[in-house]
Amino acid sequence: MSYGLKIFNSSGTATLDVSNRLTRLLYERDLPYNESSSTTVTGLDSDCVYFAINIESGATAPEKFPHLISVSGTTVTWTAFPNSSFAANTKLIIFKYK
Amino acid sequence: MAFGFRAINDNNEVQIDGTYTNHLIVESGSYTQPAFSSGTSWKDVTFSNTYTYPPIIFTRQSYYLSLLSLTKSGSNFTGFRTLSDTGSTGFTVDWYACVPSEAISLENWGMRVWNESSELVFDSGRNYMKIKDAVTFTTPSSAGASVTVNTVGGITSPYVCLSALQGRAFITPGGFSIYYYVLAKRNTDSQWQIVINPVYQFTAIGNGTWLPPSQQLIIGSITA
Repeated sequence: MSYGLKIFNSSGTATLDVSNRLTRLLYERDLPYNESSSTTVTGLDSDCVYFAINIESGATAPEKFPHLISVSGTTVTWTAFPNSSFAANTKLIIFKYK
Repeated sequence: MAFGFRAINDNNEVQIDGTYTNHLIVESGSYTQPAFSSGTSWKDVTFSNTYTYPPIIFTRQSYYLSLLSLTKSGSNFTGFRTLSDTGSTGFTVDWYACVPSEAISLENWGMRVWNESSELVFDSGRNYMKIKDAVTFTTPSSAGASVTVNTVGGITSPYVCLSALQGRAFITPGGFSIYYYVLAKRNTDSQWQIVINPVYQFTAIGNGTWLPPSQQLIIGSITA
């Protein structure tokens, strides 16, 4: 390491250095179970990853279906499960990682 | 960012600053995923604390595993639910849960960064998940089909982000839906296997498939 930030814990073990890639939250949105739409996210590029997290766990089977997510350029599109009885409220999270 | 602190990594990307919030590790543990017996033989893991923000789940296992959902109590997230595939006989899963920076650490040394809203975005007294690789792969589109995903080497016992795997297919023959979950297992430290596996049948809910054409496999490590 010839430059940059390096962090050690109290035991002297490096916990972060310049070669590490941390997750940095870029965008989040709550997606209602019956909503299909899209939006433009500033900063969205190939260095991003995205999640569609089912936040409506059922106590019994079947689990509901979270939205499907697709990305093109800076546009993120979400599609709700077509049968609303089995569609889940979903949390969309996008973070940068490189 | 008009003021404050910024750290750049060797990829010339911002690691830490007052604009982005970093995901820190808030909990970890191990559990035994039960042998598969039916589509309801999932495992519920309970967090030690509750979270208002949905945690991202990283796991390490040598058998197929899928994250079904996060569990909630009121508006708080209390745990997560996983399911293995039809051939599993029970296995150990190591896991980490990560959320954006929240409570301050108890350390009395190091460095903390706040944003202009006075929200803590980095705390050197916390552990953060390091992303080692993210590979886009084509989602297998038929029952039992699998795909091998090669990732960066040189990482001992890496973790996979189950939260990033999208989709459950459903195909409805003869009035019943067969659910096809997306599951991942580690072949080696630099190779993962993704499979679409049928695990549950239920009353018909429609025809077709419910999978994105491609998705991402994210590899993390807790060490610097």
